[in-house]
Amino acid sequence: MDLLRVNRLKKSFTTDDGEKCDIIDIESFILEEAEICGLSGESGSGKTTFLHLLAGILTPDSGSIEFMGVDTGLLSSSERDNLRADKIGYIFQSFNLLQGFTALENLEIAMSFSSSSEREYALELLDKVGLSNRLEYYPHQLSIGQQQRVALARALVNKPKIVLADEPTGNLDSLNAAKVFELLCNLCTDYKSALLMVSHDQAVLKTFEKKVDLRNLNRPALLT
Amino acid sequence: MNLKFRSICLLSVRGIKQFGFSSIVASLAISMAGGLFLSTWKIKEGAQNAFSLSSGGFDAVLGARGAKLQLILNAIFHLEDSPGNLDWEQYEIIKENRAVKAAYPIAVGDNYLGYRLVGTLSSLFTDHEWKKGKKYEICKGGRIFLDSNKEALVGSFVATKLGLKIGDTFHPYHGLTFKENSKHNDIYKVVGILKPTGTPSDRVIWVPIMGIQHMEGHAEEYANSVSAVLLKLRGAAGFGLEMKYNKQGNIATFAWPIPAIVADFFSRLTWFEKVLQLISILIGVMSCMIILAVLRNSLHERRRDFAILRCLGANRSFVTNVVIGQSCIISIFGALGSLIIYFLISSFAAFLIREETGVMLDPFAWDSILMYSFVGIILLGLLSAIFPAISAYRFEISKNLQLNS
Repeated sequence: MDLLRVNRLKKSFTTDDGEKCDIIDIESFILEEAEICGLSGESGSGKTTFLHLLAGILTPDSGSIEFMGVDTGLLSSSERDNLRADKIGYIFQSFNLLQGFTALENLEIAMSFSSSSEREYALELLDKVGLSNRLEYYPHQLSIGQQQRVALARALVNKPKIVLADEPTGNLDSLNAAKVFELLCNLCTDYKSALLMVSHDQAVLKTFEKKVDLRNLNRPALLT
Repeated sequence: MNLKFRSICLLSVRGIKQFGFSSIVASLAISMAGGLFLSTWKIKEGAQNAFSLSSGGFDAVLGARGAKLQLILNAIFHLEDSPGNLDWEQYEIIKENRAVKAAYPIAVGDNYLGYRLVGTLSSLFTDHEWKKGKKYEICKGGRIFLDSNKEALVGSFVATKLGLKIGDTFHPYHGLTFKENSKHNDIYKVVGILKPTGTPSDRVIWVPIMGIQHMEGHAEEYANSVSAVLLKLRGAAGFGLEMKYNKQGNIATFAWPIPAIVADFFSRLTWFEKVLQLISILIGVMSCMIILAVLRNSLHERRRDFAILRCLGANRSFVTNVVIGQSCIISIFGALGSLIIYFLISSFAAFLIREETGVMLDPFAWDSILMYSFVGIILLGLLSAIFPAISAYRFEISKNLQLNS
């Protein structure tokens, strides 16, 4: 069953010079439930913008994004907030943990946006990512790899239907990158969450059964 | 604790910690504004009430022709100079008036080390109720002076201040203010100490009226005059006496009703009260602006955090509540501080008023204004947070997510 269906999606920005710059023009994109997919593309090709559009952080100029059969473009701002809280997990390249809050608090704060999660689940997730002994550690007390694992646990804490990962291994060394990637795939498989992961790393991309290059998704006009 | 509520609290407290100094300054400004506002309001009201209730159980004062207020301040509160004297005959006349239930003559003009001597009749201490159902009481071992003797009954405040005890003797000094070279030769003996009443009576030394009238060195006309007559009236009999003395006569002034004249006196201080209230309102407005600035700065610094929260699914109410929570914490501390400042100022004011007039103010007495002001300050803080709270949700998530941590 389709989890995500994108149709004729367009997004453009106006540059500082006042020029309109088309960045996304996708005819069609589909992601099945629990499917794991890699997304590649050159820098500035609109990968992050595409994820932001899927997450409802940005609204498209035209076209539609159907999430579980619901056109997210028709949702109100508040409904999109709820969609993100309940159904979408987001992982950033720079982790974006809330500084000044412990690993556990970072998860609890994310949980508080959703109605379904339980605190025990947060503890279980932190245990799964190997941080059960770092619950009360603040981000600055954690290594880079540990921070990304907290971010990973946070993305999954509300049992999302999809995890959108924006180069989650981009800031990690190859060893940590491999570990985090494996962990992410395993967790998504375990919790039956779909994964759409942006990566530059060819080694990582090779491991995806399904991978899409944004250059191929975008219409040819944008590539010129 | 509900997870959402806990998260809001955590984020609000974090905002306060991040802008600790500004938050403290905002709280202090609110405390100052609230404390000053409460103090001006309560001290004026408290003083007016206390002065009105401190009439010593009298309804009116008859004295020499002059200002009613001066007469009351002199005869009841033992402040100010006497506007002049009345013939003893006037006391005899008014005492016999059917409208008068009781009349007590007083004579002033002497002091002991700055505390004034008030001459009166001993019946003031045996018959008169200074407060409904309360007569003057004398500390153990003491007694009321005899009208014919040079004896003194000392108010509790004076006894404490001067260390006077039963059996002590003293020479009075001429005049209402202490001058070392104006000592009378008469010697008075302390025969009793009055129990505290919280009224101006505590601040004087009571002696027989004859003592003042016939004090060595006083002019002869003193012997047959009184400074004022303190009156207890029957019902609303004051109208007739007001007409007789103030409208038709020109010998004496009839000051009645005492609370209304006291209130009139306080109404003259309204300008001062208004100035203070204006200052407190200005500080209040400034506090709101400080809160606004603190929240705006905090939001600006934390816009990446808010973008992350939005990205994770924080909805409008959550984001708004975090900002409001931050303002609420500042306001609660400000409101608590305002009560502390109020208690400090009013305690000091109560001390000064007690020292100067003998009138007791209770700064700790419950008044609903304290609650209203507490709630009002918090509401004001919340009001200041509305604009930043609304703008917090309007941050562009995508743009702010790209800021460096």
